[in-house]
Amino acid sequence: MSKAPAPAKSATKKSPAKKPSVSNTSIPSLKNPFAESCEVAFKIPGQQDYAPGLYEATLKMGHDLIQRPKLASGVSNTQRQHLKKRMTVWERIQVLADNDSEPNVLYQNWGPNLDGASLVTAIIKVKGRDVAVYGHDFTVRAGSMDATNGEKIARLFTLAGKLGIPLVGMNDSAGAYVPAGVGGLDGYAEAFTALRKISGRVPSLMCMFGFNAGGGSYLPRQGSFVIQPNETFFGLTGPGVVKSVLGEDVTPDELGGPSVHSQSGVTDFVVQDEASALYLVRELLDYLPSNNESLAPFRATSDPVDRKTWDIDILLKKAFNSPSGFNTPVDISILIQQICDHGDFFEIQPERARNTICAFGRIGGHVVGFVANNSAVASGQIDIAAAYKNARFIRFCNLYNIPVMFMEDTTGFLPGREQETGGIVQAGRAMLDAIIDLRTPRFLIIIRNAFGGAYASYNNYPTGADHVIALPTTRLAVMGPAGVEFVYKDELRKIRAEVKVRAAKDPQGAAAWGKQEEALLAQRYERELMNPNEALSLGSISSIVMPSDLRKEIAMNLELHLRSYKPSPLSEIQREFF
Amino acid sequence: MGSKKNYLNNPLIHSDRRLDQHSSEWVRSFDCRDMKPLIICRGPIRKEAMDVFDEMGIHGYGILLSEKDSITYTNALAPELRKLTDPSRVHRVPDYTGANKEERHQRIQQIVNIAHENGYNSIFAGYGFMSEDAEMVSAMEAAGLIFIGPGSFTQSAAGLKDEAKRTALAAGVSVTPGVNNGTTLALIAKAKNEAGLAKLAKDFKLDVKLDKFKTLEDKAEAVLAASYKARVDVITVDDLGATLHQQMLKIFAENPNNRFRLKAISGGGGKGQRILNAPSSFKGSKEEQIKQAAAVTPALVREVLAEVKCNGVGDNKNVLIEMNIETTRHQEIQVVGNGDWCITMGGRDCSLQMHEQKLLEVSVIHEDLVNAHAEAKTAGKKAEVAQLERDIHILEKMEDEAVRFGQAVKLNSVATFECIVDGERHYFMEMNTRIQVEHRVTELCYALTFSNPDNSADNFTVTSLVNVMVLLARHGKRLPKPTRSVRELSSVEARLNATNDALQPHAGGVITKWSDPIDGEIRDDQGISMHNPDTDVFMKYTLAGAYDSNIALLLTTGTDRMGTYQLMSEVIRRTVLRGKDLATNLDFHYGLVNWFVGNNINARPTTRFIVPYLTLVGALKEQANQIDLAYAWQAVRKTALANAGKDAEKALAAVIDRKITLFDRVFAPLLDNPHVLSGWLSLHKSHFKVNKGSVSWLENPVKLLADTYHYLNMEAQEKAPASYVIWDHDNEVLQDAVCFYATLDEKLGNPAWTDLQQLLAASDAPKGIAKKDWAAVQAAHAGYQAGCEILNLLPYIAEKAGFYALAVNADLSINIPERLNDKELQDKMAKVLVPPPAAKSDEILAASGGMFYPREAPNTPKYLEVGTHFNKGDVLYIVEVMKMFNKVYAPFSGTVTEVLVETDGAIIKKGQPLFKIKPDEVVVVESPEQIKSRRRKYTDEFISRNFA
Repeated sequence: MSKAPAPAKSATKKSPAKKPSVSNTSIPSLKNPFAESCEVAFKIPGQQDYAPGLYEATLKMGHDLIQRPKLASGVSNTQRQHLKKRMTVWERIQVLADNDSEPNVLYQNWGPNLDGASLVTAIIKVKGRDVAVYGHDFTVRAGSMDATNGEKIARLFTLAGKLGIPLVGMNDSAGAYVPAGVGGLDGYAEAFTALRKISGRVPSLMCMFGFNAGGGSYLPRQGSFVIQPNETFFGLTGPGVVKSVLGEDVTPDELGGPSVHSQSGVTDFVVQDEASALYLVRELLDYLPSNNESLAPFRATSDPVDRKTWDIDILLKKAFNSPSGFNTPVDISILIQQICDHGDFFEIQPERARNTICAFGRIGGHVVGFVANNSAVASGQIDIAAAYKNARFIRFCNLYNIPVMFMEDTTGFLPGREQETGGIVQAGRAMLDAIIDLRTPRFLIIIRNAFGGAYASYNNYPTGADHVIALPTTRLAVMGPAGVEFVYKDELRKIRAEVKVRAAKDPQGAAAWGKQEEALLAQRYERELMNPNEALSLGSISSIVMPSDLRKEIAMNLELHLRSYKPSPLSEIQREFF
Repeated sequence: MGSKKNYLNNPLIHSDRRLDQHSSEWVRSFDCRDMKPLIICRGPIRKEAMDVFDEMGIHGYGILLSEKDSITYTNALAPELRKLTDPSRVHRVPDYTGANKEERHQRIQQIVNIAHENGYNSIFAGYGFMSEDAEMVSAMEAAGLIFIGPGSFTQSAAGLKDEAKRTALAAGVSVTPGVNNGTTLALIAKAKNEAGLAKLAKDFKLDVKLDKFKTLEDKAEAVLAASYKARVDVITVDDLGATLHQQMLKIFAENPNNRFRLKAISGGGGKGQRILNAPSSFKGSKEEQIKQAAAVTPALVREVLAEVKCNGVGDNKNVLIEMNIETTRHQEIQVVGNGDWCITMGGRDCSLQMHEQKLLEVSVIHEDLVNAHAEAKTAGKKAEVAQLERDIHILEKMEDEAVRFGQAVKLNSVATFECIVDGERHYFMEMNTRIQVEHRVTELCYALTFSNPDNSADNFTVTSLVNVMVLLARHGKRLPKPTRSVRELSSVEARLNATNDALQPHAGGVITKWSDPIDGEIRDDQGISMHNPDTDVFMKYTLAGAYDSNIALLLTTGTDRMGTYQLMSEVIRRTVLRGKDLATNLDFHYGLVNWFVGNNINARPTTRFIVPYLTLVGALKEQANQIDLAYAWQAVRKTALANAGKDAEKALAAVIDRKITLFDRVFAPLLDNPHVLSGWLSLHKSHFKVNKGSVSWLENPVKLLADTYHYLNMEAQEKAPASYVIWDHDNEVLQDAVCFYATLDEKLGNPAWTDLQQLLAASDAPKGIAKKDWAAVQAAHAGYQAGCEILNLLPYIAEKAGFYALAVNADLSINIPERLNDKELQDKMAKVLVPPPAAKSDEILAASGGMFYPREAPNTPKYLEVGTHFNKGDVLYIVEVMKMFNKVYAPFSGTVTEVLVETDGAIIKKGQPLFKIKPDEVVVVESPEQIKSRRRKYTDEFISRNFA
């Protein structure tokens, strides 16, 4: 029944009339004859008699104008929206806004038909904070854009920037309004421009409802975070055009569904349905400042900042004492959980490149960002996706005065043809630049592996870290285990020569001996060089911290650095590349 | 804070339990604030104990975290830590039990050390594995720690099976009839006395000193043991057969309605067992019946021994006689004692269980049974009255025996006396010497009042069993025998588990939202619903479903069982539990509770009820899967328009189209969730008739539609997102229609639906309605009823699935159609409920490149070899990428037919085949066209039965 009924001409057999209960003669209606209808009365509280005059008639006209944007579409259009399991823009606003609040609608009747021209802009309350919100009204002209609502949306963006309040977009638009001609395109251009102007000034959260194409995709992706429910599509253009232009047969879900966009990072969050998307906006806003000159909401915590993190100790003990020893993957999000207040944290892009974890959390009540290598997924190597995911997140924290905790446990950037072809150099560079540019309090916590280029580019003192600490399990070296070939070049050459000599007499025994000797060298390498000692001696690491003291150590130093930190707009000059 | 009202302050389970503020000195003397317990378990009881301790004024307790509470999963940190924020009271162990005996011993030592080092003076073990371990309890006692629970004496007296059975017999407790010493009895019969035994021993040259043993039985056993050693037969198979024959005659005389089982002691896995049919299945007088039933014993004894190859010389030929447990109900009595006195607090029926996992537990107390009995009597339900009388009688006997047994084992805390009830008989199975998961069912029904022996007005009342345990542990013998008083007449507990629709264990998933408890809801959920104390947001929680499926316990109470179940239904109805990859049995409970509400609240299900019930729900799903809803709707529309007159056609089309969303909305949740549909069909069974697929309504479909929105928790609600409830334009129509019929009912004196339809079809207005309104009334009736025929689908599905064949008999037993006991159908329906993950190929391909390892470490066995069966989620192999060892898990279940890469450290490429396998479930790809045509065919039949 999910589709509107087609005119009845389908396969059912023609059958003789048989319906005893309802008389054939009456014309069916949905009007309850017993109900009393009542007109809106414009009484002042306490007014006794009511004789509407010219004044009341005028009020009635005003009342109708207020109602018009909500009623313009008519029931059948609304029904069509509902059959697609989508809410109307008014229903969405209700979910997003605080229960006891009314939306403050801006330019409610703007548009030639006085119906708001398929776009609603308003200021609402979310957990008591002012939030600017826009939403396409798909029930009116399919939420399409023309010059009018392009300007309307641009004015909202500008206002949000001026007031310094977060922006939420509820996108549900078929694209430009074709009858409006170039006007629709100009409308988009105006909106693009206004949104770019407030990017970095206020955070913007974009929900992708329905089926958005073209400008309807670019505009939201200009925002800070994109949230996409299941059974929605967005992209440059829909499957129809793709078929006609490229001959490709593809479903909307394969072309621009959440499973596609969440993997590329175009979508930051995938959720079950529309309501979940709006709930997620409420949740995420709780970690974000309203603008670039204030700190994210502080929440005093009942979780002691000096709480011992014994569980990190237990986790590492279990992992590193297991048969695979120091090569055992460790789920870094367990460590993040242990460090955060009450173990609560909020992961960004949780479906993509989980070899790195980006998350918001609170330490001692302060919001921080976590950027952490996760050896539990693909060995925690930094590949293209991970590098861009990190870069994007770090840049966001930089703009909005959020301190960043880097947790390092990686054997390095992922090499290979696939990665080079995809441009790992550019991606890794983006991450490196984002780290160098970071001006908020930024710590590095080395968990285990920090080798070579990955160490060099990952928030160390030279790149601007405020504080670098390391667990005793740290293995900071120029190279990973492969470094044995360089460090013990001579020794290895000797062993290999000896193997050849011995092989003449006993080929099998010689090979075994050689293997054993090389293994001993590898062990020596691990023992002598894969540890924090050299870095400590050079001041590359400030101090060794026991796993059980991690929360305490971080919280103490975070307090220290935040005490003098003044949240302010980023005033650095623009650099090349993003 | 949103979670405070019904969660943190529910008066049914929270109160000020401190005694130190009391005006009476005698009461104050039972203060327990000097207790400093260490809680050594997890699960819902941990949070409950923390709350009760705090309420008693005991604030220094500590908890033990296991690895599952902290590091095994993300977002699974023990929620109790949000309340207990003092790190010095949080301690850690890898687990609570240890994997083997040594680890277990080590763990006990570790717990003792933690207690000593941190100044705890007592231990609370809840219902964890350790709670019934006599070794553990003695170790705690020896270490000078107070064990809050039954002492080691009780633990061993009630814990050892033989000992417990002997104690039970001595205390006059009814145990299951049977014989477990057949060979001994046969030997005694042969030897007749000690001299005979001595002679036999001598004849067979057995090395045994008979004077070392006291009783004749012990001596006979010694001779037998010696005979096994010497590999001689002191008795023959015929001797044994004759003895067991005699025993069977005796047993059958007392149990003429039961079947019995002969089981060779060395049998197992179904081998070496034979069933003796009950005397009542034979013809003739009672004596003749018994004789016939027992006659086959000697032959069957020979058969079972031959089957397990125990007929050789010197084999232990013992054959046990056990009662065959068939239609049993599982009931248990709550017992409380201090070693001197012992009392009971009524019973609980735990028959609704599957694979030994209890699901729904309901109180059985005298006062409620008496009320139900009176009600049945008034209603003239004879068979029901008789059954309730039996229940009252059995409860009395069980409580009586429980007291005697509790006294015999010197129970000094709380324990449960577990019984099975079979027809008019009951049998004691065992005593659980700990608090049970379902203890709240009891504490909600009865409170205990402790009175000063010198002055009964000087007293205090306790409403928590955990509180009682602490009192008993602290003040033991000083506590006078309490009296019990009714708090609530009825209570029920639903165990919320991380299982799928077929009640199979599920990985668990993540809970992202759980609505706050409603009035009257008791939710023991380990603290999951406790919001982040700093930000007041719900914290997502990862369930460890595969390890411990219990998430929470939901309880409700009422003045009778009906009210209690209805409140439970209301609790589940309004529960919003959302998450990622989440599977719980909440829908199952909704269906089940309403099955009882709709069929007969006093129905007496047995432990064999759930599997057939699930099978039936699977059958519903099988039918629902066949429906093409859009197609059926078109047929409804087309038929209606064809039947309408020319004048009405256009208006009717508009009316029907206006209502498409109104109907569409309720179908998805009903057709997708067969458990929810089961509940709906049970509640509405009297509202329609189905005759060969053709449905007629006995209640106004408009009212049913409104009820359905309510049932699905989708009626208009101010604070709910519009997409989760009825759309506003649909609500307008529905409310108008409901008001319209309410006015009609009022004006016409509440006629039955069938009569009302007759009245409305008449050309003249009936009395009570103005003539001028009549046309409009008829028009409205036609409009509101238009399209309602689509609802015919639901009864149609029920009839097709044979849903109503599972029914409650007059005597409250439940008729289970034979087909639902068919194992093959049960398995098939389980797969309908939860389609197993299917494999798309017969190979396992490398998920990434790297170095391949078929095992965890060089000295451990390979994960997979040819012939290995693996389940979804099992580790298949390890791939090393840049020195990291990543485990790769099975995406589906199957069996290995060929290993393609064998060596440790082999280099593999992404996409390379690693194993050839035979998947458990092969995908049968049905094209969208095939599905469509199958559904249309099914729906066509529905259409032809209802609209042709």
